[in-house]
Amino acid sequence: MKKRLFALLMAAVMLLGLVACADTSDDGPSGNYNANLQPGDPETWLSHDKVTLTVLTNEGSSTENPPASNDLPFWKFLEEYTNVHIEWEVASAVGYTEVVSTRLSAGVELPDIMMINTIGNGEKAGDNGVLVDMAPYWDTHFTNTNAYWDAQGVDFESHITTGDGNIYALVGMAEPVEGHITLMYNTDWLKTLNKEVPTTLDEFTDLLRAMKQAGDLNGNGVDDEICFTAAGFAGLMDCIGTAFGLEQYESWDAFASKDGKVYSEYTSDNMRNFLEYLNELFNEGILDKEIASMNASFLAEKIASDRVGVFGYYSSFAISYGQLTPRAQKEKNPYGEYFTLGVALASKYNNNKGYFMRRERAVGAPTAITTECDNVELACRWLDTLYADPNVLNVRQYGIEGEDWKKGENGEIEILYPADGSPRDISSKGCGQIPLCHFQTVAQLTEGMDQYPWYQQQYERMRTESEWKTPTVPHLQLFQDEEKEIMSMYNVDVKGVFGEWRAKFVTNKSNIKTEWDKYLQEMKDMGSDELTGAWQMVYDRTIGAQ
Amino acid sequence: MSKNANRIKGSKSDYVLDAIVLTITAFVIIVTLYPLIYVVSMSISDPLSASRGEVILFPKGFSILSYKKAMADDAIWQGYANTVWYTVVGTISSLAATMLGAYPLSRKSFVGRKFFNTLLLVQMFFGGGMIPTYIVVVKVLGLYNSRWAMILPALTSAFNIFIARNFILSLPEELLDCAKIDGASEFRIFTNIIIPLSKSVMSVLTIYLAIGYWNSYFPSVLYHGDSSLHPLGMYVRKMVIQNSILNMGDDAMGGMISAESLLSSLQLKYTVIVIAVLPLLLIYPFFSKYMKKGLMVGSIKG
Amino acid sequence: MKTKTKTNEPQVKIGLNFWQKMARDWQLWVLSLIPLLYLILFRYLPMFGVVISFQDYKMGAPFIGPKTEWVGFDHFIRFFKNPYCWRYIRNTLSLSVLSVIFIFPAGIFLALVFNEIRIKKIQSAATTISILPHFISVVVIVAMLRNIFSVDGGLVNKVIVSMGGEAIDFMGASEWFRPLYIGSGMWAGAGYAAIVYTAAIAGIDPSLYEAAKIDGANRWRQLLNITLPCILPTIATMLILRIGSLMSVGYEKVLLMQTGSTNDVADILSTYTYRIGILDGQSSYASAIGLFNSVVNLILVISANKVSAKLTESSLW
Repeated sequence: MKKRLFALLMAAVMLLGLVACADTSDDGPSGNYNANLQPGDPETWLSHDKVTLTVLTNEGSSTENPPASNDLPFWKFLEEYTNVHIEWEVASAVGYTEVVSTRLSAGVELPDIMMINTIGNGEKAGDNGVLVDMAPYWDTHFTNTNAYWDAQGVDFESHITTGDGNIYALVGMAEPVEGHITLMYNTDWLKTLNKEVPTTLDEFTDLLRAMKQAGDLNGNGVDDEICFTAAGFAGLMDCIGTAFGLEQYESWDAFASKDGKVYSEYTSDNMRNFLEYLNELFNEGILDKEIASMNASFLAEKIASDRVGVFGYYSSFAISYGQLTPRAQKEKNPYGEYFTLGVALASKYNNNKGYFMRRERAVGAPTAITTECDNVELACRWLDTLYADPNVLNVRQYGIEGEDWKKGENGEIEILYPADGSPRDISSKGCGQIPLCHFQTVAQLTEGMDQYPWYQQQYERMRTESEWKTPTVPHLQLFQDEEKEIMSMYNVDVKGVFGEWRAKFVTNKSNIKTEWDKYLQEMKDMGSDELTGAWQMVYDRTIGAQ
Repeated sequence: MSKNANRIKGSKSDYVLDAIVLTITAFVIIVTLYPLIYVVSMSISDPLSASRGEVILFPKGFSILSYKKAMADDAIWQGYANTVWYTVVGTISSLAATMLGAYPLSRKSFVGRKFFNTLLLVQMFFGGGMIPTYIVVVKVLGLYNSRWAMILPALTSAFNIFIARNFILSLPEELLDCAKIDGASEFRIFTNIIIPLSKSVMSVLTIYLAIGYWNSYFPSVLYHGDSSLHPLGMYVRKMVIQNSILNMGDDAMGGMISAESLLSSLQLKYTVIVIAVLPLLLIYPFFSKYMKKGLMVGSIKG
Repeated sequence: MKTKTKTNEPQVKIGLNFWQKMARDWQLWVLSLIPLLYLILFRYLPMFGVVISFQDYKMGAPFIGPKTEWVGFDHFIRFFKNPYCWRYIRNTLSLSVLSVIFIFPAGIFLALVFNEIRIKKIQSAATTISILPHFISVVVIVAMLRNIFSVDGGLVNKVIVSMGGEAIDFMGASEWFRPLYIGSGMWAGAGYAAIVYTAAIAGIDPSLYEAAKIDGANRWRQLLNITLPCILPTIATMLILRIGSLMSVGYEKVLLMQTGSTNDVADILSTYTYRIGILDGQSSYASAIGLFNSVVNLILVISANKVSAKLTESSLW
């Protein structure tokens, strides 16, 4: 009798143990990843048996790069390299945000790996057990990634770790100092006016005024010249804001600190000076009258009509947009210089030292592993390989070995060019930009640029002649629950108020001199002070504590 | 005498009416046509002229490059085929579901009338939204990657049912009572009397439904991971929103976009619209004719 | 349509209780099975999602579970406390009301006008052409709008300048936003909306016209005294349904037209919800706003229905 009972008890315990272990959310790494490789398997394989992972991503917002598929040489290479087969689900970029939100929320039909919208989404989904916490695997399975960023001196981990110490999604990251938004000047107009690229704000203003004065610079007899424009208001701030002491860049929240005190750039005197300046330009007919409704494709149209004197955008567009100009089309020379890259402008607002903001920040939509994945450790290793394995990086940056590059005698990379003189094209092979977030390297961003010597020279000047400042506030990932709540409550509204008044002040719908205080009051009513308070809290806890 | 006077008076004001009507019509046609001609002109112009905004009304230069490019993309043909499937199957299903819902509602003595009406009304305003609907479609019904995911979630609407119901209510009641007394079942009445007499409202519904299904694309965004199921609308949308304000992405920064692709994407916007609309344009006049014919027959029957 | 007439229904049906009635109507129930199933599966089952308006909803969470945080009416309070709350409501309503005043009658008007065209070819050409704009994606419509009304050399401004005036910033001026929105809405939607009225007109008994002609009525009279009254029920139905979506102005077109400086009239509920809900991921808050939206719509429809019943003796239910 006792024996039977005991046996039953043991069985029950075992069963319970079985059930407990059957929990699909893993209990942590099993030491170093064991790829079960057999003798004869290439070292780079992640598993002896060919495993399949399903990956969800979108096609990317431009049709320039082909959507991910196993037909592309890059992915073929990766499959051979790792022995992991990928089943792609490439969704439309249209409405991808909604797709991700919906699928994460519903928690059904999830792939093994997926591209999500924001780190914030990832955190919420992770808290609810939809995404895998990669923190336990970070040191053991992401060795390549760790090595890569350690060599750069960048604390990548802090960008992806939540306040609770979890890592639910990986972001891409750009090596600092690359692919920046800058001012670009119409080369022909500069020559006609016999002027150089300005290095100070005053020189810049003089140049613009000279352009305006000169009148018919594109020689078509119509007064349609636009001296200064950008792909929208945000782009305008990005290319010239630093001349006014602003730190805001791209989608960074506009907060900065001075002497330990955090302040909102939106309501600062710097911003006021900046907007007044823009308003002046607008009134003089220098700034594009349509600046409020500009976007990248409208900008392209204007440049193609040879109407633009100066614009601000990512530096690589000096090449792309330059090719749209009539002269480029006539000369059929894709390597010519049609727009000249500028440098950061010095002014009395930034102590006469022009600077760019050093972009140590996350880029791209994050990638996460979902809890439907049966092979979490493999997925981690795969991601690590994709991002930072040195050989994979070479292929991603330079193209297929043997076709686009080869290893020189001392092991350095030698770029190979097409025999017919056409521009190098590795993106059609799936190299370069990949549809999962990735690290943007210097090499990748300067890829193919040696065919444009003028660009290389000016790009180098950008990098070396201007100061590269680091932000004076901590980055968003360091926010914790209470601060995040405050952000949730007020951020969208405050940004909205700013956007509205910015447009009104610059385009003369409101008089900045008389209504600035009204604007400040509205910002206050919307919660700007509470937001600043939240940033101050994070600051005190991180940078301030050092 | 008075008849004559009336006739003269009548014909004068009739002509005035004609003049007014034709003027308004001319205005409407011109105002409507101008942007449409612009779209077509943009699509067949020389790409460079198109991107420079040199096209005002008529094409500048001539190039069917963008059409070639668009048609070379397999996605378009697959999209066409899918869209035709969704439109045909969807319209028939929706029409059936709508009429099946409208008829019982029109019977005043139907015990479930109030219940049904309330059900329709409440859901017109309150809905769970995207996420719960997704859960139902995918988890509960398992329709992920199924063609029916494009049709079932929007099978019918209170709007359409009410329109159809009101129409049926306008049919003479005596007809139905006679049929009842003759012992016809509700099924009989529905198929042999109601449907034939409802040609006009069914034509209207068909047009609205067909156009709706033809343009629909969002369910596919959510429910179709397999791109071979994507309708034409997805392709159109992708082309159209490139580089526009709704499109946000900071992968513009790395790498260079070739001038060619920039130029063609500027023009492609317009080309895909022409491609997507053309079939409808050709079919609509037939439908319109049929609708009018059906109406005349219906009203003669009384 | 409920019209108040006296009907003499055969009195056989008195005395049936509920279950007997159910049995008697079994065929009707069978007929309505499919639409009923649809409603339950696709409209009522997902309705449980409404509860997230009262939660602090986190992604991936089950809608009701041990971890859900209930916050009651906090989201609604937050919305009403927002300094711009009334602005969003007012902007949404004004766009809606304006479109009912201008776009809604445009459909009727077009249907009536086209009906009077006596040359068949022109008539069918006109009706076909008028529905074309409906097919053009709203993105392209706004792009065309921007092209034509651009302050930087758009067609309209070219004309203004050549006549000696100063270029007007149509897209950036608050006073032009609503006219542009409504105008382009009329252009894109009038022809399409006219379809249902055209069908209604075509369904009018021709003998009524015959009788009128004999009485000496000219076409004007016929239009006013026959055509219009006969389609009045259709108009009433469409109007009530239209009012039921008064608070639901879609975000896409408005978002595309926004330039920042017009936000005092161009920022509406749905563009706000888009920013907060989809871009910023605050689904509970957005859902709460949506719920508020729906409640207002419901109240409006019930009121409209009552008014319609009193005025025109026809109503929706």
